[in-house]
Amino acid sequence: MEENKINELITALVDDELPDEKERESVLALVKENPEYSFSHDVQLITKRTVLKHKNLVTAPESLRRNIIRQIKPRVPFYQKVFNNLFDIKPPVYAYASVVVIIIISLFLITSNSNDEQFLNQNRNDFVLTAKNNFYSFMDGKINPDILTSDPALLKKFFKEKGIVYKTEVPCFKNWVLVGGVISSANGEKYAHMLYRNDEGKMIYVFQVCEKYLSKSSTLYVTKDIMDCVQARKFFSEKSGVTNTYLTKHHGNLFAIVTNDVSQSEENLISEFQ
Amino acid sequence: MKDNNLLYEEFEKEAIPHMDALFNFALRMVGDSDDANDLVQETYLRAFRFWDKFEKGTNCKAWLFRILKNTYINSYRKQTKEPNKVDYEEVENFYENAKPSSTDDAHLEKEIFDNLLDDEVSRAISSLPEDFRTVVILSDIEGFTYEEIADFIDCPVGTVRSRLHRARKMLFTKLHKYASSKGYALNN
Repeated sequence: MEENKINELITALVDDELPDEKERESVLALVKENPEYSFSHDVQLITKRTVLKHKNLVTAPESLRRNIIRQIKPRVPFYQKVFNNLFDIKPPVYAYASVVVIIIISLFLITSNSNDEQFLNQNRNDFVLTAKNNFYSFMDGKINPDILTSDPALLKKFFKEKGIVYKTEVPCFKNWVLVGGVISSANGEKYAHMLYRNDEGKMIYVFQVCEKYLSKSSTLYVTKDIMDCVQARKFFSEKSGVTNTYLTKHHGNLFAIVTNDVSQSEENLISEFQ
Repeated sequence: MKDNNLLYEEFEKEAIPHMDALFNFALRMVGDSDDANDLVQETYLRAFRFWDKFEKGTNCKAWLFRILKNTYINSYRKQTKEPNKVDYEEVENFYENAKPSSTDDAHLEKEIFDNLLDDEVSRAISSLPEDFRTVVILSDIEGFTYEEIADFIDCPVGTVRSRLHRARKMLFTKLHKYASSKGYALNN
């Protein structure tokens, strides 16, 4: 047998990966009889033991665990919980309960801005990755629009009135209908999000932020290679087969665009900003 | 289609417990805890998206590692600085010279490797080229079988065996150098 082949079989012997008893016996015999193979065996065994002994494992940060669970754990909307309980209540109580429920729902709708936690945590967030996560949160129904409108001017007005301090743009994509928008906030900054749909039920999600918000002190950042790509090519794109993600810049704002219409051409999505 | 709550409960029970293993692997691959955090987070979000496709009863840890690998290749590999290439000829020369005086397993282990620190071993692993580092971590730290590693790196089992053999020789050489610099070495 060739020397290299024997040495590799010795490695397999050390790892208990020689299921053939005959082969195992013959390799063992070589290790016992031949000093060179014996040395090879020792080197493999000692190195393996040393790595195992000094593997120095760490525990995943608790913040990472919390962050992941927060993003994947299904949330039952408050009003849904209330309605679920409602059907267990018998008629006389039902009437009083209905009044209470209506009041609670009204209060909930008035004060509701509970989307914030879905969008960003208080740590630094990758802008592109956050946009992708937000897209899936919309798809899964974990986030709902604050305003439903197909009127770009009305949505811009809404963003301004609700406290977004940078000048927002609401792009129009050919063959897509604007559905509405959401405002999120983190660390005192407010951000604009837009949703579109087409006739096939596909979605476009746009996360818009003023470029200066992506400074070091901000909650959001864009990795250098992506930013370099935007500077050089005017946009960055990432295609996963399930979603396409784009990043582009226009009038001092950065736009992360995520869509599940993977057939959508870059030109259609990006030309709006050029 | 399964209820979202049920999917989440299964995922929490089966996939979340492997987070430490994934984090450690990510840390060794990208070399930075912030990037490792992002890599593991993206891996879990992707895994949850495709959780209904996961075949129950199969190896969940291996499945998660495959997702992490694909995420790493797509998003992180270009950013990560590859360690300097190992001069394999140098490794072979060292190895050949070490042979004659080193046949006693117990002696070797005691004299050279007992006094190494965790950091020195970690540093030596990190300095291996990615292909070799991967097999050492998966085999010696995570305890994957050759077949699982072959599936992970998309290579035949023979390639796993060969890479592992060479990887351990490289590591042995590096660890020996660390030990020598501290005064623990063979008389060769």
